[in-house]
Amino acid sequence: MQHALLMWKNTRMIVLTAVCAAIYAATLIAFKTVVPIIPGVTEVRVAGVFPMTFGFLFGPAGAWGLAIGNVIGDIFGGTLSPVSIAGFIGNFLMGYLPYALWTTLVPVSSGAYVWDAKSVRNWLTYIVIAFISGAAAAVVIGAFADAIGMVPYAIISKIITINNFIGSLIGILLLTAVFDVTKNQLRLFWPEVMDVSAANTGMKASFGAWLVAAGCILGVFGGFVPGLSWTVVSWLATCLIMGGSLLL
Amino acid sequence: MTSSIVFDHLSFSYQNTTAPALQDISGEMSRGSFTMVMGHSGAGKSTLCCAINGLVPRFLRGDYVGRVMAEGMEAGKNSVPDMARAVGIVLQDFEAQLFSTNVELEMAFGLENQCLPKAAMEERIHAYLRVVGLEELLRRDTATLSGGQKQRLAIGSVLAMEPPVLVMDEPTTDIDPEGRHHILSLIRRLRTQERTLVVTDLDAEAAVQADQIWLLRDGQLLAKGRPAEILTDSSLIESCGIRPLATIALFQEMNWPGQPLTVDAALAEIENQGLLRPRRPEGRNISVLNHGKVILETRNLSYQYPAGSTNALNDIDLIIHEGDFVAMLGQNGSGKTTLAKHFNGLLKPTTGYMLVRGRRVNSYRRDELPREVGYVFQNPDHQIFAPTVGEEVSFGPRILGMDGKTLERNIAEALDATGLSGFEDKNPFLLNRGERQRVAVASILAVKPAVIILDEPTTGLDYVHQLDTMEMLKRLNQLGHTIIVITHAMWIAEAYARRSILMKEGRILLDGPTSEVFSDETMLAAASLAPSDLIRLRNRLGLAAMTLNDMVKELKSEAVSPRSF
Amino acid sequence: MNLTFYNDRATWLHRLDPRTKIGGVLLIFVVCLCFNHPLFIAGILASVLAIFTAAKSLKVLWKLRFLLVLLFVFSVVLWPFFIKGKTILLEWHGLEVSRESLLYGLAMGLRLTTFVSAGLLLLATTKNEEITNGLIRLGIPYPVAFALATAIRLAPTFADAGATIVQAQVSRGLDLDSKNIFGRFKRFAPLSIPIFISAMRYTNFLAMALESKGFRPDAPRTSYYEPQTTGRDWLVLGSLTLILAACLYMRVALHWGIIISGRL
Repeated sequence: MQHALLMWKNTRMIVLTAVCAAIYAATLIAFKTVVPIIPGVTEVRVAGVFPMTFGFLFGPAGAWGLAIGNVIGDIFGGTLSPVSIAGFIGNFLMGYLPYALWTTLVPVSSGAYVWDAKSVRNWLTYIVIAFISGAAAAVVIGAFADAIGMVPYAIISKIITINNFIGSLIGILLLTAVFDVTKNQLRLFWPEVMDVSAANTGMKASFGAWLVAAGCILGVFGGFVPGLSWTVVSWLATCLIMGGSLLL
Repeated sequence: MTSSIVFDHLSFSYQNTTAPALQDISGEMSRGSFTMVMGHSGAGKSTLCCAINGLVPRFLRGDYVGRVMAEGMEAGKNSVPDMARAVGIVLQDFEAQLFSTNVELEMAFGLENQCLPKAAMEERIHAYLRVVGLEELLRRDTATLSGGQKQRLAIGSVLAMEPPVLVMDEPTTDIDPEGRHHILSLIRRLRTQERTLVVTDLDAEAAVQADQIWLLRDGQLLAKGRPAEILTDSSLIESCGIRPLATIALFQEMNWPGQPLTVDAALAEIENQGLLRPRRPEGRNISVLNHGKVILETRNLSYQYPAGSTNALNDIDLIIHEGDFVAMLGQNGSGKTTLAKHFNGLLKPTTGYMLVRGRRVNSYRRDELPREVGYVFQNPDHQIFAPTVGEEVSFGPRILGMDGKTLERNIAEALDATGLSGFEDKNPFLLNRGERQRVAVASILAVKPAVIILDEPTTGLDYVHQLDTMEMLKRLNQLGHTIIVITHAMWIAEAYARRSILMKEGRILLDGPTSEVFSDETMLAAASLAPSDLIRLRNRLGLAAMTLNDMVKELKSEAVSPRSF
Repeated sequence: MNLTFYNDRATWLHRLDPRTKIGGVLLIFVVCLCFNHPLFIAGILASVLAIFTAAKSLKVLWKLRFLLVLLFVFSVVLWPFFIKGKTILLEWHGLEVSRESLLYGLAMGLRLTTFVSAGLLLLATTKNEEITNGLIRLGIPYPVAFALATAIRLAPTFADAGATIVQAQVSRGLDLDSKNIFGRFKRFAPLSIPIFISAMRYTNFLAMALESKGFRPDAPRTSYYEPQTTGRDWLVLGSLTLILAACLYMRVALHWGIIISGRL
């Protein structure tokens, strides 16, 4: 979590945040009216191809960028509401988890912070993390939207998870296409921009990573267990995800 | 005169590169002087600019030797925000220098960083908006400004911080002729005793007014001196990728004495020395327009943008023949791009018809039209997405159903025509701007469309790359493609297009053979355009030729010998 | 592309301190959460509409009428299946719809409409720069507010670039109309890459220009906009707080406006 705060002292990271937010917002707005799945809460988000790439390449700047971009999408889409607050947190997680889990979710992750399209291991890590980060956002947003009476959790959490996951899978094309030019020509790969030398590893971080993963699995499937209500599931899962994220 | 900027044996190479960006640069710029820095793309102009306020090496890192002093502050030793007190810099891309949602706040941004109180900010904002001529737009949303206005706002917001040194890196790139005119006259007005100006530009005509020219080539300071010393050496500046002054080139070719830097000076010289017998502009040999088969035709075409209140195009009647080479000219917003987007069906006329080979565009299937009309967009980064050049170029033909031998042959030919053979496996994003532009052309070419439309194909390229691009288009035209170029660069229309279409406010102002269109300076002025120096000279002298070589031939055939001295 | 809901009128709402308006909208949000009886929420919605009239901005709502109707209908149709009530009206294969759940759905539809309307009220009467300024004065660190403002400034630029990119690929023959979700995503790939690259080429220039203008993330700076808080601002905030207190009292002490207890 420390990089997510430290980055606000780095001009380039601040600008990256703004640029990511603007791309995300512009795409959200451009495609907002096309197919609203649940109007005001979510739509077929083609913008969903961006979060994994932003999070992986730009780290905290990607996370804040997605959070801010989503708010701007609400502002210009005319759907500013209390859910925008949950949207802020959820979209932040979609950018935060990709870089935070990449090195910590052992044994899925290899511990090295690189993207190599030829490595099967990298693909596996990407897919697992894409699911977790998409589900984490879905659980947090869903719990909140249900509580204030916007949409039932049982529906919204699944729609957002699937939507984010499909977007992220297509996003592999994007990440593969732009990784090299972003790192080596534009020099915007975040560990280099922020001079982060050591990857974040260690027991505490791995524990946090698995806490988040457990929260996501519970949040998406927990309600199918007889006797567990979706409301209880949603808040329990949210606590796990938020707690785990703070440990990362 | 005291020196304002001092370079002391400055060498710099960017991280992970071998070739140095700057090599052993030494020199002084005195306070209140205006220095023009010129050179080909990649010569080190931008690096030099960034070294003045410490962006090199503080932000753009690498091996740095020597030192740069600006107003007594050492650039490498102070942070960039600290250097801002001494040096204001306007970078190349105006779009990327505006942070605020309205004009007033943009002007205030630097002042807020300087912790100025509100009253002082207000005063400066009004004063400097007047200087850059934007005082009417105080509350406007920055996103709604034109390119030229954005650039002037970027300059104004730096001026408001009142830095003793103002550096501008190619302030007129990517701006229409009217906007360019505004900025050049603004630069003239900015010259005062107290302010040191450093400007980079590719155009020799803009350098005439400078006190000093620094000529860069491959990171080395090749020459420095007054314009009269530097610009008169045509072969020297051409070797630095700069188009020589037409007046100098003509006088050299004709072996005339004198080295006039401007058209007026050249005419005076010719008259005073009696270099030419007074001649009346005579009936010029009218070049005949191509009358091949009709390929594009608009009938009474009008177009209104969905959100617009007035027509972007009004009653356009136009016929374009196969094999022609057409230039479309006019300011931004005159309708050239809107019209061109009708040619390949991207836009549908609000009223009237758009016909391709006599058929309404609506009657074409989605995959048919791209084979007839290809459109190369201005910014190659707006279309390139594939990981290799080969895949990028094959995307169009594949999507239109080509495969096997045809596909392979088309791609090979497209790469060959654009000089990209051997680039198949390269990553297009890592190529330079000129090469990316060629990739964009190749990917359209691979479909073999009868007509190729190019929107500003030479933006951001230096003279050498511009020549390359235009020679390539000339070859394609000779192979039978109809070429339509939308351009702000007058010399490109003059030297390459057979036909020119002049547009203003959604209407065609003038349409005819290029040689005739450019003879009508009144009409061009009505569209806020002016011919290049070469053609202005030609018009004054009453010649028919459109290129330097032809003019020299035409003049020599008249066998006028200069008076003896 | 011009993206804004701001409606330039000279009403007292437009002149309020942006902080007051942000705070006021948050208070309205909370007031909406006090009840889940449709009649009560309809009352709140009516008040919001009345404020819209005072702001002379009903046309902004009209622009979004389809979205608002959709939101309402969607909620009314969906909720009854997920809430259990006492008075069963319909039972079918384990799904049941009750009188209470129908009313709850109606209430939630109205609440959603009220949320969006209240949000629009803020956007219709407050300029982007005023919102950013208000957030800074409410304690958001300047670099964060700066990122927000710059993103708002860049979003239309990137949206325009996006439109050009769509045209560039369509003119190469790309067919963007696709019915299924997966196809839609897949066709977006040739668009997302140029959008990403052309935007990222800006980033270094932006950061360089920023430092060159003397920007330091953690240095103190002055602010050009200094909105004045007047008595009217305090009046607005005061009355909204009173209203909220009254609503809380009605809900908690008097148990008014409740259809389904145990839910907001």
